[in-house]
Amino acid sequence: MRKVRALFLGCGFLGSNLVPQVLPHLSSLVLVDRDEVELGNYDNHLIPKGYEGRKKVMALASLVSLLSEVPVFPVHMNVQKMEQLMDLQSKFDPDIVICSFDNVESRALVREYSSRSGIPTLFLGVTENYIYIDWGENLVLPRGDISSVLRGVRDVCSRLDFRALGSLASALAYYSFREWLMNDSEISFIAHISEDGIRISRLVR
Amino acid sequence: MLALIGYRKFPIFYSEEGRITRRVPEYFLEYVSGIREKEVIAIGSLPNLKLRRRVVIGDQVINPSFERRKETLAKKIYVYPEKKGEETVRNVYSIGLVLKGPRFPVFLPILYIFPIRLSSNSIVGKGLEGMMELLEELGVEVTLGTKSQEGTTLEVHDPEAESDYTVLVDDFGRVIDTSLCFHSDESLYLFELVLLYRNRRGSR
Repeated sequence: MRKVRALFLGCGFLGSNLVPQVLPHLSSLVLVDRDEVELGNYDNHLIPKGYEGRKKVMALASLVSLLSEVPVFPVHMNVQKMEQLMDLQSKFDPDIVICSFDNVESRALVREYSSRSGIPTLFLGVTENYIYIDWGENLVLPRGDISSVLRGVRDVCSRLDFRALGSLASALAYYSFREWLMNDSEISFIAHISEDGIRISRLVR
Repeated sequence: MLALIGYRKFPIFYSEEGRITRRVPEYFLEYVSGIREKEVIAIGSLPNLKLRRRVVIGDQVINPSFERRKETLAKKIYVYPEKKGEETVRNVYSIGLVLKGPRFPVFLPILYIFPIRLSSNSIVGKGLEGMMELLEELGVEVTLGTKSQEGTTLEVHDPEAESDYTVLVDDFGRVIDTSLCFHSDESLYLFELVLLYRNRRGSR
């Protein structure tokens, strides 16, 4: 199976859960994040201990260097402009971009970048009740007053109660990634979590 | 790609294989040239080198045998493209990369196994003596037992782990056997066994 260069935008809850899954398929890995590790992150991020107050990209890069021999490039950056993404592209020439940013503006920017660059871009997202895995310009972003949604997402990304969401989202994203790798097909999922259980649907377009 | 800055007149660059190189991507060269501090590391990527265990106390970098070769610690770590460096973690038992430095090797800790809280900022002794000094600082009492052809028996009393156990070590402080139910594929030194056991008890 071919190996690819991956650019991970976001190294938090979802990114850190997915990185170990895809490692065997990578020839190089670029990790981009702007945040530092907070103590609460240990409840649902997959990162080594002792990184409180230090950069998330370094925490995850260190884990990667322990798990594999894949060359890993940590980039501590707050992605706010298209030029930054184009710059990352020219430096690292990724085959695929995997975006798990938890803020809507950056996601919108990455969606636009995906459309402009033509580089396959896989998005992962969660809310309290939903997981979605989608590709490129198909990504649907919330509209209107989304402050409460964002608060909810931040909550999901830093509470032990939601740890299982990370595993489930990364499993679905890995499936989708692998299908892209093997068959060049872009499979999207949406999972709804309720008291009755979990309903996973494959989105057909 | 990684660079040691402020150790010589010009930065020293390391490839992804951990070898000193002059082939440096322009963006990283530009980034490194903007860093003005002395004795710091700039990280563009983590080189694929064997990970080494080290004790970092203050500025001292000590290998697990406590037979110290001179290794140094970079003062700060810069992660591309961040303009502000982070202080390197000290007082920790860690795993990291050892880079060939201009005079001495430079240790870059990347995984922090346990913090080590000491009242002093250095360990003077070498070998088994150095390990005993560290253990004493950590409040661990070690009593010398019998000496045989196999090695020396030590009685360990660790109040923090609320444990008493026996360890058989060789002349270099390597653990040959212990009364603890403990297995490791790696050959451990006395202080590593004490720290691992203490931490395991603490995490219950």
